[in-house]
Amino acid sequence: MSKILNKLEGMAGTDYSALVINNRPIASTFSKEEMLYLKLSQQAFVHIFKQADKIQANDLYDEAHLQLGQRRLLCFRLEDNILYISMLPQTNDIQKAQKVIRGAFSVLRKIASASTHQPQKN
Amino acid sequence: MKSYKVLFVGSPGSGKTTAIRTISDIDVVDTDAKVSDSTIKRKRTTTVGMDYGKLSLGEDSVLHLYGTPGQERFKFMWDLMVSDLANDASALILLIDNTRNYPFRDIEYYLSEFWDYIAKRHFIIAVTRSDLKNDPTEADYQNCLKEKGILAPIIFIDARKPMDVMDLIMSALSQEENINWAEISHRVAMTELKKRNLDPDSPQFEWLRKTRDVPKISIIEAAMQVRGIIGATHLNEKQVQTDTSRHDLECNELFRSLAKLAAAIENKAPQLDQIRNISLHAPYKESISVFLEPDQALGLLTNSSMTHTQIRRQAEDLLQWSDNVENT
Ligand SMILES: Nc1nc2c(ncn2[C@@H]2O[C@H](COP(=O)(O)OP(=O)(O)O)[C@@H](O)[C@H]2O)c(=O)[nH]1
Ligand SMILES: [Mg+2]
Repeated sequence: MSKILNKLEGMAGTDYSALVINNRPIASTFSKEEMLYLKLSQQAFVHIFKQADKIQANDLYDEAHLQLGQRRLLCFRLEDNILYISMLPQTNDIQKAQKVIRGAFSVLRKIASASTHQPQKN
Repeated sequence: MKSYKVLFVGSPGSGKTTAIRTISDIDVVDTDAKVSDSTIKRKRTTTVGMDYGKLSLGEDSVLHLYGTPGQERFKFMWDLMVSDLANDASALILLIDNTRNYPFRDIEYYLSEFWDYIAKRHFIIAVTRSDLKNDPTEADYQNCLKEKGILAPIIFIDARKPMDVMDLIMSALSQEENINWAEISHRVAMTELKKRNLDPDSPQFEWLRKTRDVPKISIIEAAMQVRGIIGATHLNEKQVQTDTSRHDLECNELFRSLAKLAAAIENKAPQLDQIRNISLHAPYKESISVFLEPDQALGLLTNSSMTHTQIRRQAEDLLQWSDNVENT
């Protein structure tokens, strides 16, 4: 599964990424050193979307950014409980990353639903 | 000594500073950063993002290069430059950033702002950053100008490349004779940037350094002058709202809670870098962004057509010049 993430990262220009379902990463390429960023941003993004949903009953925001120093974390909300989080170096093209990742939504959704239906299979 | 002048205009990020720096013999006077006199309250003087550079054109002639401040809130400086410092300029070079959403609108905008000035001078359009986004194409620009009935050369350049900028200059001064362009180009190509020295005695530098009163304008008023910004709210270091474009702005509460979240994360994980931005986007939806600095934050509600990078650029620009004081 992380192969697909790696491939997507290559195209989007991101360094690391993870697919998170129900607050648990089911696939991740975050290195050990960067793991803290995934954990922290994951919590933050859940909170951010929750706050955003308060002012917007329908037509919700599906993308959030968190910039920490030189690191930009991008989070896409594929479903209520499914997030795709990736880390983009400061110098890389945000618009390109957004476009590529949005283009991969259906693939990511497929992976997510496959993994929730077959929890045993790795 | 014969002296020529050329004025560069264009939106923030279009490459004015870069173009001038690329060919200038002296280190560019970027008045954004170099005002060190502490008695001048930096944010109150009009040494506001103008650029000045100089290129020797031979033994007895010199070219002065000026860049206007890009931000619309400093528009009064455009008038001042046009009527004073650069009144006798030979040409106006309009830099257009090809990665902007509507580059043609930029052309329209600057045409209308500088119409009288352009009418009496050489006018050149230079398209930058086309290496990042290749449309509109040269043909598109030509059509655009044709429709407007404007005759002007359109030159695609990379503002970071000396020879590209030299092309502009040659076009700007094409009526002038007795300039040895081959020699100048050679010299420009050979001069390393770091070998250039600032010339603090030049009168142009003095002009730029002069202190002037900036019409006082709050960060919120300034923000609302930027195209694409629909709403703006300023928060202090305690995440308390100090100013807003509209008190009934739906996202004001959200700005505050995002700023609070950033503060909470920094408290929890002080070893990490500072949180500088939190944004929310969705296709065809207005974006919500908060930009954070240690002592202030700016919340922006922006058009869906503005890209994240454009929003950030504007926010940084605004925060840099923010007086962060109450309106008086
Ligand atoms: N890729 C690319 N970058 C450019 C070009 N021209 C300028 N830049 C970059 O764009 C950024 C903004 O340029 P700057 O000169 O500060 O713009 P100003 O606000 O008009 O003074 C800088 O990082 C430049 O290096 C170009 O033609 N191509
Ligand atoms: Mg500049």
